[in-house]
Parts: sequence; structure tokens; C-alpha cells
Amino acid sequence: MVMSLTEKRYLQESLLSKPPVRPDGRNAEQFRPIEIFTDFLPTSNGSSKIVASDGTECVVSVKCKVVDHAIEKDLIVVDVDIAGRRDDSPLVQEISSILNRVLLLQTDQEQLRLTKKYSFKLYIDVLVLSSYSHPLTLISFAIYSALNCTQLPTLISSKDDLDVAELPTFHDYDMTELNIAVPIMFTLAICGQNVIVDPASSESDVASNGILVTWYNDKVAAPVRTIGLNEEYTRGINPQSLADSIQLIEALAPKVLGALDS
Amino acid sequence: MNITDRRRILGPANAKPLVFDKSMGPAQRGESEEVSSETGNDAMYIENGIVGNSNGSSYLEVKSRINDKNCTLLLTSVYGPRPSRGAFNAKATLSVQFREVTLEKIPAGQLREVCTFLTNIFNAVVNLERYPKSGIDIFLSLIHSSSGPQDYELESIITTCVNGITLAFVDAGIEILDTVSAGMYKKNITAFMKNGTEVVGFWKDDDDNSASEGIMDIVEKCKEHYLQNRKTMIEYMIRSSKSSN
Amino acid sequence: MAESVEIRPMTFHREVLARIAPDLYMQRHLSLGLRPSLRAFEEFRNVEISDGRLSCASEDSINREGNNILGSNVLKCGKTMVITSITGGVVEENIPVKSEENEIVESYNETDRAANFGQVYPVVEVERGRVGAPTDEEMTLSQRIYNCILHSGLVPKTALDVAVGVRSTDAEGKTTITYSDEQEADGALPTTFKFRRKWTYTLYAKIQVFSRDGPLFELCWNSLLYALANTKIPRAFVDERTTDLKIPISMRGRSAAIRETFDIICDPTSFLPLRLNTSNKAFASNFAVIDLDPEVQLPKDDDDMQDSMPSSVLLADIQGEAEEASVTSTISVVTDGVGNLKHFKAVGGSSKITMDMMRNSIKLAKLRASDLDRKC
Repeated sequence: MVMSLTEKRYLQESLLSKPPVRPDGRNAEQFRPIEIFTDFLPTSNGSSKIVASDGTECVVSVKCKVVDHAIEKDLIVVDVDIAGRRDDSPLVQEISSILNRVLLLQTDQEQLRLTKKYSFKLYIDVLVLSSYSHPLTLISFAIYSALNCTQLPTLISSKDDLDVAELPTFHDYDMTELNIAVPIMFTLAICGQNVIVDPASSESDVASNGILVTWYNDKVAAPVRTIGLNEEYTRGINPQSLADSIQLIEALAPKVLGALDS
Repeated sequence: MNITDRRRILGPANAKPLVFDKSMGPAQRGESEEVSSETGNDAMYIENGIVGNSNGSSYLEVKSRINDKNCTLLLTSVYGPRPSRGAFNAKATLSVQFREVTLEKIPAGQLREVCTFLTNIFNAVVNLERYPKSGIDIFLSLIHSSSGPQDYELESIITTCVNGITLAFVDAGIEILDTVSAGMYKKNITAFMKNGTEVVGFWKDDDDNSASEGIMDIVEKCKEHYLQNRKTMIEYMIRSSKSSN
Repeated sequence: MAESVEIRPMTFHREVLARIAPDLYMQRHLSLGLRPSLRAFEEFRNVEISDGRLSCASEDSINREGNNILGSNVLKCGKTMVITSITGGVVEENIPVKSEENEIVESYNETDRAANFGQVYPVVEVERGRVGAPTDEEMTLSQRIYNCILHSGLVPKTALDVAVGVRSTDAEGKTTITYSDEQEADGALPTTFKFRRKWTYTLYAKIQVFSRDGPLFELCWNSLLYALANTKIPRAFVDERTTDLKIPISMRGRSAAIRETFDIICDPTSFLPLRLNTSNKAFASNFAVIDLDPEVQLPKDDDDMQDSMPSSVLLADIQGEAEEASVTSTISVVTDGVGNLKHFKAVGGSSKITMDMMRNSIKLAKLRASDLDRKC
């Protein structure tokens, strides 16, 4: 929705007041309700669909393949597709680059190792059906729940195949649950001195700046960086806001993870 | 689908890039000299106005204070404000393009991340209201970057980019709110303005060393580097304006 | 009621006049015996060159690790800056099975002269503050440089052959690399085996131009030539364990043997200079022919000068927007100091290029080439 200048100014003023008054009546640290469906795609190893209250919808599917890990070093590949945007548009390229790097750097690839020679390679396909605000938080929630319900075939051949030239063989129908720690990412909007989580699109339009915070293994991890939520109202922020947003995520992330896991 | 590039002369399709043997190269020696003192200043060489057909340009050569093998050569040119077609915009639109002039080592996705990060910084810094209905385009040409064992170090490149863009804006005479500069501490970058009281950009990448440090400590360390960089830049600007008078 | 029309002369600032009436601006300068750049008609710009210390093979390189630039050049001419970097690749040649052993040595091919020369694949990029596909100028420049390098015979094909060495590891774990050509020089044991395959280097040139200020072919060409002159190619070897390895495989019951693909590894410490055909080394210069328009000449003090003004003049080294815009007849010469012409291109526009002018341009180009050659 495109807002008029007056509407934007009004919204900006209300977000600047202490405590911030958000258009949908949320608290600064309150998320929008989301609905998650997992494991609904029968042909993929793991899948999830996430729907936010503003209509943003994102589908993630995880598929696996057995590869020689001496040849293919990167065992996780993320492909992002956002409806209505070209594959080479800056937003799509940026999001897929961030996700690829975070998942590769942070996740423990040992968990994907099958034998001494072969590993599972995970292909994560992200499809954002409709997006109204910066979709990174929702995508990372969806990837988190998809990876946590991913079932991989159970290996029945021996784990040591260095001397014996044999390809890994799998059980016909038994699956093993994939067990890896997955990072999640939060976008926060900074309005003056206030920090608000999960900004809606109208809030993003008037935010002074945005911050991306990654949460992994019970602590804030890299990357943490400022991201542009709009072009018009971008301003410098007080260094204290950086610390505030990290504190906020430290308090919120365990609760969010608890909700995603349940 | 046939997607060969027919606009450039690409050479034989079965050519493989040269692979240098890593085990016997100069990488072997010099483990000890890398970790020198963390004090002292970066060696910075600045020259403005090299690119004749741009509105403003700056050339930066930075040798790191920490790692003497870390050297970044960057040429920044600013084109604009020039008229933009289409709908009326009350403010100028800013764009940042990044190109590697000699070696191409950085993946395209990461370059995109850097470009959006830099665009976001300078959206907050350039007085865009002054230039309605126009576009300002920044072109970054990385001539060289090296950092010892790694292929490239994005953090020192980004820091140089922020400083280079500010200098190019000054050369182009485009109004900016303050002399913005960035400081780096390990793998963290903070871009400051208004004497370090405002942060316009923060970038923290994977780094085990600084993981335990609080964010305020990191920002404080970056600020020291920022103040040094800004001092060098301002000294250069004063010197060059004196010599031109 | 008659309107009184008052005609007032308009004056423009120098830059403005150059923009709105480049030909007038040009003619006014020429009538003073000068060019807009304040150079004389047959005066060239000075050229500054350096290797930029970008190459990993150069002695004082700023960086050696993760750097595969084999030769480089930074050329400054006026405001224009050209940065050339040369990188390489390896191609495995297809050799018919029959001609293994010593028959690899090719005989000089008389019919197809160009087949004896190596190629360089250039990509020219001109910065002009826009993004998108390469422009016409960039594409024609790249193609022209490619053609000229190939047909000038500067790079002999044999210079690009890879003399493959072998890395062997002895019992103590010490590795040594032996190159066949080095051994023969030492009079040591001849190599115990011959490779049944042949590799060649390919050279790529990336030419980046900043502050375009006139025609670029000559600047790019000269910069590429300087870069090729300091190009060093690394020695390459394969690991002993992989030499002519045959791997038995069985495919659907039938057994077969496939040859392992070799990994050519380059030695980061040992480089050989690229052997160029120095007799084919030539430098480029450009010229313009422009008619003097008698109507716009500035009034002269003494009349006898007026008669001796020629109808057209030859200008060396085109520079600037005004010159480029008002000139339609151009000559481009690639030659060495003694007059071995490698490339000659004359575009006849509105002004007539006389034989005299061509002769003169070649003479000047020769002088220029021997001057540029000294900077190598």
C-alpha cells in the first residue's frame, strides 16, 4: 500500500513516541501471528509453509542428494525465488547470498556426512509467494522448520568406504531425522530511539534504519548488519540502538525458537 | 538454452584457469610477520579527480596497519546528479555499482550485498532532497585487493569503499551531511557520522575472535579507526584546497 | 512601425563553445596554428607507463597470493588511464592418436599464416558511468585488438606451449620438480617418459579504460603491448603419481580403461618471460585530417600569411571532444621504429587524405614507435 506523505509523517511520529505506537497495536517486541505447516510436500525430504498475518506466504522444500564431498565442498545450497521479482534483482540476489553464506558457515556439515567419501547435499528451495515486508525473517523461520522436519534415508551399508569401492546403500523405507542446528535471522526496524521487531511494510517505509541479527546456538552470531528498509527515511542511528536490538533479540529468540519447535 | 556471451571475445571453451600450487608458494613463509602490532595507522594515499569524464572521483590506496600484506586499491567515480526519466521524484535516487578491474574473485551475490549495504549508508548521508528528479550513480572500481592468506577480505574493501565514496562526493561537490568514514575492527565495520555519535552502517561478519566481545566494545574500537581515517581524509582535503587556491 | 533590430555579438565561455559548436571551436584554434589541447599539429601527448606492480610474477609485486595476473600495465596519456591485466588458462590440445611421440612438432604452415601465431583474448571496458551490455565501441575495440595481435604475429604459437615438468616425491617425502628442457641443458639424464598429450596456454587481457578522451584503439593497443612485454608465464608440472595413469573401469560388463585427466599445477615461484617475436613488436598512433575552413579563420595581421595556409592539415594523436567531433577522416597506423607496418587503417570522411599525408603519418608513426619502444 502506498501511503501519502501525511500518512507517513503521522506514522513516523507515532513510532517515534515512547513507547512506540504501532499501527496494528503491537508492542515493540511483539511478532505478528504466523501459521506454519510442515512436511506437506510428499516428494521432498522436508518442507514447510509459513503464512504471516499480512498475507506474506513462503514455501520451503528440502531435497537431498548423495555427493562425493571431496569434489563438492558446499553441502547446502539455497535457491530463492520471490514471486514478481526477477532472479537477478538485487533483493533476490542479496537474500540468497546471505542465506547461502549463513547456512554454509554456521551449520555443522559433519552432520551431513554419510561415509568417509560421501555426504548428503541439501538443496533448499525457497519460494516466496507474496511478500509485503522484508521477507528475510519469514524465510529463515520457514527454513528452520523445514530443516527440523527433514527426514533423510537411513544408511545400511558400512560407514568406512575408503578401502572398499562401494556406493552407499539405503534402507528401503526407514528414514532418519536430520539433526542440525539451524540459524535464524531477525529483521528489526529502528525508529529514533525505539527498536521494533518484525516490522510490517508500513513500518518499514518510515523506519530510520533496519538491523539484521542472526541467532545461532543460543547466541547472537554473524552476520549482524544494518539493512535498508526504505530509501526515503534512512538516517544514522545511535550506537546504543545496536546494543538495544541485540539485547532484544537475546531476550526474544529463545521464545521464538520455543514456539517454532512446538 | 544457449547463453554464450557473444559480445565479448571469450577464448576457447575448454580452457581451464591456471592453478597455482598452494603448498610451495610464498604462503609458507611469513606466518610470523603477519601479526604485527595493532597500533599505528593505516598508510593511506589519496588522490581526487582522476577520472575526467565523471563529476567527481577519488583514488585510494590503503595499506593496513595490522597486516602489511593487506593492500587495497580503489577508484571511485560519481556521476550525477543527472536527470532521471520517468515519474517525478522529490529526491534523488542513489545507486552503487561495484566492479573488479583486474582479478575477479568475489562472488556476485556478495558484491550485491556490499552494494546494498553501501547504498543504505549513503541514502542516510547524501542530502538527497537537494537534488529532485535526478539520479546519482557511484561506480567503484577495485583495482587490487590482497590480504595474505585469504583470496580477498571483504571488510577492508568495504571500509575503503565508504571512505572512497565520501571523498568522491566531496570532489563532485554533492551535498553530504557530514564527512562519513568507516572504521574496521577485526571483521566488524562501523560507518559513523557526526563525530562518532551516529552510526550509519554496521557490518559484522563471521569471526570467532570477536564473538565474545560486546557490541558496544566493538563499536568503540571501530570508532578509533574511524577517527584516524577521517583525520587523514580531512587533512588531505584541506591540503588540496590550499594548493588549488 | 518598424522594429529596430539590434545585433549584438554573443560571447560564450570556452567550454560552452566547445560543446555547442565543436567545429567552430576547432577551426578557430587551428587558424592560430594550435589545437584545442594547445598542442602543435603534429605533436603527440606524453605517455606514462608502469606495470602497476599488479602481476604475481613481478619482482616487487604488491601481492602474490591468490593472484594470477601474469602481466600488467597502467598507461596514462593525458587524463586517460588504461589498466591492462593479463591472465592465463590452460587448454589441452587435440592430437591425433597416430602422431604421438615426436611427430607433435608441427611444420611451418605456409598456406595459413595466422595459424602459426598465438592469440590473446582481449576484453575492453570503458567506464562511462553506465551499466549494461558492452557498447559498440567496446566490442569493436576488442575485436580489432584481437585481430591485430593475431595477424601481427607478435606471439609465436610455440611460446604458448606448456613445457610440462614432473613433480616426484622420493622416499623421504622430499619433492622435486624436473622439467625436461632444464635437464637437457644440464646434460643430465634424459626424461624417462614423454607426455602423450600437449597443452598450451591461453592468454586473456582485460583492458579497463578510465576518463575516455578521444579514440582508444591506440592507447589500448600500446598498453596491451607493454603488458605482454612484461608478461611472465609460470612453469607448470603434473604430479608423478598421475602421469599417464590408466584407470580400469567396467561398464555394463565390458571392461575399458580411461585416461585420467591431468591436473596441470603451476609453480608459484618459477616464471619464464613470455617469448615475443620482437621483430613484430609495433606501436600504434592515430592521425586526423581536417579541412581548414577559410570562412571562420581569425583575421590575420599580415596578408601574405593567408595565402600560405594549406587547405587541410594532418593532426597527430586525436584528443578531446571537440577534435573527435569535428574530424571525419582518420588514419591509424601500427608500425615499429623501422617501418614494418602491421596495421594501417584510413577512414576517408569529408576531408581528402592525400598521399603526402599518408607518407607523413607513417613517418611520424615510425618516430613515435621508436620513442615508445624505448619505454618498454
